Amino acid sequence: MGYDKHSVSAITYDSVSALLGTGRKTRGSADRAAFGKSVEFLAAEEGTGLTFYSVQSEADAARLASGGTPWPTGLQRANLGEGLYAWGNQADAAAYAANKPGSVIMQFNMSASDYSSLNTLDMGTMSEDAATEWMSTYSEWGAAQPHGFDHIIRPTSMGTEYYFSPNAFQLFK
Amino acid sequence: MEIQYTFLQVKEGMTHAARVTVSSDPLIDGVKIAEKAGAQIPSFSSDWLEAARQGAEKALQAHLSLGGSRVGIEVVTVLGTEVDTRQDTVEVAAFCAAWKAFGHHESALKIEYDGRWTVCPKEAN
Repeated sequence: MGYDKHSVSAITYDSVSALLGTGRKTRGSADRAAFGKSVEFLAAEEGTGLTFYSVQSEADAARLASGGTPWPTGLQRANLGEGLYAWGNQADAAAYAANKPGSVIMQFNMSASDYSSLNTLDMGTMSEDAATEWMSTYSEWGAAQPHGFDHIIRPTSMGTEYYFSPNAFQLFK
Repeated sequence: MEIQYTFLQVKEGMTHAARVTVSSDPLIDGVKIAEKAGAQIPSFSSDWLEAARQGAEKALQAHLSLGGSRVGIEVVTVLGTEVDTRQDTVEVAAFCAAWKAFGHHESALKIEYDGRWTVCPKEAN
C-alpha cells in the first residue's frame, strides 16, 4: 500500500467531521480500500500487509515518528502496557479522534509475515470470566503485571483495539 | 480514610470499568464532589462526575435505610478510559466505594448487567 514508515497522515481533526459525514471523504485508493474494513479483510484482499490507524496528538505523532520512546504509561494512555495502541480501520480511528481537537491519525503498515510471527493474545476468543481475570491481572485496571505479549487484540465499545509492544512496533514498515 | 474501588467486568466481549475514590466525612452533608475529582478525566466525559455523585448518593441512601449513621461522602477522584468507561460503570464504582467507606462489605451487594450495570444491596431484594 506504500505507506511511509511511521508516516503521519494528512487526516487531522479538521477532516474527521467530513470523514464521518454523509459524504465520507478519503484521500486515495488505499484509504478507500481501508475505510470501514477490518485488518484481517485487508490482509486477505491485498496480501501485502496490514494497516493500522492510531490517533495521536501532534507531539506523540512526532515521538512515534522518532521511534516511540519515551512510551507513555498509566491507565489512560497505556492500559495494557507501553507500546502503540491502534485501530484496525480508518472509520474507528476517525470516530475516536472526533472529540480530540488537534489529533492526527497515523497509519502503520506491517507485513503479513511479521504480523503472523507476533506473540498475540486475541481477547475476543476468551470467555468473559477469563477476560475479566486477565484484565484484572495484567491491565492498569488491575495489578498491571507484565503480560509478555507483543500484540493484543481487544474488543472495545469503540471498535477493536490493537496493542503492539515496543518490540512489535519496530516491525512496522 | 479514602476508599478506592475499581469496577472491572468483561461483558459481551467488552471491558466495562471505572475507578472511583471516596472519603467519608461526618462534617459533609450528603455527597460532595471534590474540586479536582475530574482532573484526570477527559473534558468530554464530564458526565462521569454526575454519575459518581449519583452512585455515592444511592449508597448513602441504602446505608441510611439499613439504619446506618449519617455520614457524608466526598468523591475524591473519578478515573476512566474512553473505550472502557461509561456512566453506569462510574455509578457502580462510586456506589461500591461509598458502600465500603460506610463500613459495609462488598459481598453484600448485588451487581447486575442488563445492557447497563446496576448495583444494590442484596437485602433490598
